[in-house]
Amino acid sequence: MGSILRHSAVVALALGSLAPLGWLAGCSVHGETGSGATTPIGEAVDEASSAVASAQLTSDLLARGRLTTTVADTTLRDQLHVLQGATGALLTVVPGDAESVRLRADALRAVSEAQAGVADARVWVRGGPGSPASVAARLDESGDALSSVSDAVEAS
Amino acid sequence: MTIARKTHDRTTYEKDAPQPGRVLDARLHLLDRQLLDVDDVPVTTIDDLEIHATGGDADPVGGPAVLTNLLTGPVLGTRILGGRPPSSRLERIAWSHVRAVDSAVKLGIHGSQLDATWVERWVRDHVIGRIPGGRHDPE
Amino acid sequence: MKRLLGVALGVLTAIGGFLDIGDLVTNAVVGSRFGLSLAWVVVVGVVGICLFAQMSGRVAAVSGRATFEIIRERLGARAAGANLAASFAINILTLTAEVGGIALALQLASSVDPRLWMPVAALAVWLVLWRVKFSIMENVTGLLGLTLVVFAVALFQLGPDWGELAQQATTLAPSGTETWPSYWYYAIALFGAAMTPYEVFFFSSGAVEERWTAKDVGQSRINVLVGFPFGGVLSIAIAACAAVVFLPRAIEVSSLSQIVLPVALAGGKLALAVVIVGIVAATFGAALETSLSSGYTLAQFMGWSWGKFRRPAQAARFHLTMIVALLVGLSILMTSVDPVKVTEISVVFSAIALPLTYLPILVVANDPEYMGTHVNGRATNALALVYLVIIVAASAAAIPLMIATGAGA
Repeated sequence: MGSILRHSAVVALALGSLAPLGWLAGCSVHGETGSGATTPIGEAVDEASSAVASAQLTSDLLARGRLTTTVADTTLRDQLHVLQGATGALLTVVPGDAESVRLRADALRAVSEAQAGVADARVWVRGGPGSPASVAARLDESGDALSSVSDAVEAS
Repeated sequence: MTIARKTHDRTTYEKDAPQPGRVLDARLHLLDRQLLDVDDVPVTTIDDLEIHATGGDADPVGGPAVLTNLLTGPVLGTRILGGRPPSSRLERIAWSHVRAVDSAVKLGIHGSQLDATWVERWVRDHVIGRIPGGRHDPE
Repeated sequence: MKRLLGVALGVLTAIGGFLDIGDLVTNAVVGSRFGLSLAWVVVVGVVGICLFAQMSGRVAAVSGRATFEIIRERLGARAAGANLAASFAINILTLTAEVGGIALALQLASSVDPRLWMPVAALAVWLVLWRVKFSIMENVTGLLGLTLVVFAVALFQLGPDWGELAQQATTLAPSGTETWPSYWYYAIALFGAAMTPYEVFFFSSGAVEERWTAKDVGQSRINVLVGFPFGGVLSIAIAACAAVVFLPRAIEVSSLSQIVLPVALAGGKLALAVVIVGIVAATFGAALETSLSSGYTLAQFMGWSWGKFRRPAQAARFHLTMIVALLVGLSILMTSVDPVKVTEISVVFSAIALPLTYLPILVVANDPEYMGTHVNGRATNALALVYLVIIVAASAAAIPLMIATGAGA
């Protein structure tokens, strides 16, 4: 390799390694928003909302005949895992003040109601009792409950 | 064919008179090169060279020397961390078997005739050969 | 006419073979969280992989030697050993992700638990490696993988607001609740997903497998320069589908089952069937390629006999390496780790390993002893140096960002 190329490569390597370090240094000055225990609660609630929304989309598609039972079942099962993860995250959070304790209790309630709703939706998907309307209504309710908790977390 | 001398100490030697044939640089053209057999099947990499004095002496310091064998062996650890394996652990491939030297070094004999290919033959016989279809061409 | 068909086949297999589980997952996740604001990374990644795949294919076609052998000979055992260690480890990780992807896709088709599919998938991959000819393997998986164009079709059928998508694509900043560190973390992940290291070793060894000569360099150039960008377009289509369907609903993609929902929304069960076939083909093809890459890199470094054109008995250690690689990948999967998480980690680590895997290729492509008059032109070298800066920056920033964002949480 020619020496010009070699020298350019060295310069390139040096530039490449220094650039992100400099940027990261600047970035750390800005820092992140969020405080105390409310950010983990907020994140868990967001995850749960996402799971409920996915379940709603899935049930809707299945009701309209655009999805196979297999895919719907798999999607709902995956979302149940997400909800389990959100519950676990909420349980391991240690709230610092009375308000965070209350928020966490609300969040846990909303997430567990969502879990029940998605689990029952899965029963309907697999041919058990239920109907598109009842499943949708239940999931809508869970979604609303989660978003009001989310608003409360943001306001705190 | 004699090899161009490359020594680690700084003692200078007189250059040989020009001779017919190619001049090879051991480090550039031989070491770490792929060794292929007569069918162009890879045999091994060339890990080291064995040089004897022309008188037959094992130690060629200070006199004319000739390349007798190509060496290969368990050098992965030693190449990365330093040192070299004892010469008894290295496999020898006679220089006289070499037919051509270009971007890879080519032998004039089959790989199966060499001791150095024993690991490949062992894996073939005891592992791959035992799995059905191993000896057939892919389709 | 036959030549035209040959060229077309080459291009189509390049498009179909471009996407793997890393592209599928990363683009969908990015689309659901950032919209199209990271689409530019796909463009940068595609240009990069075109550049380096072309270089490595040219090296193999002109010198008749595969990349890793030349790396060992020119850079010595230490540098090549470091390169090998990094490449091999990433290959195993990527292989694990791909086999996991096959199992997840088969679950979508069959309701059978993925853990039951994983040994089947690994066995199937091995059987193809064992008995099927290289060109047949490439052509079949490549052409079947082409069905992933259904993502682009679905995007059109969803009737998105193109203006809004364009605006997302030109807003190079995180939106909504996302932060700059997450933005750059996913940029690096997307970059690693597009510039998969194994592709380069696979491409060059494949050139030797198919006995390319200097005459074939032109064909390979067309395959790469037409095929890979189309593959990039499909990647962006996946992200756009996720952006159109998931972003407004605040859905975060975390499973393969979610990734197919936009296609079902657009095209119903037929499109769903097509996309599942496409995902199985793409991940299967990528599993083959990563296994082969593991075999190629180790065998070429050690000087062993290698190649699918040889019968297994004549390339025993090469095949043994691939068997071991598949077994290691399978054992990792059987620990019930989530294949999607493995995929997300593998793309970031691919980005980290890029400097080690790409710099030697640049060195070798400039070496007149192997390349003769076909060494890199000045323009290629200039572009390659720019990419070197990008690659090293991405690699250096990856771990700090991973820590700062909690791996993208």
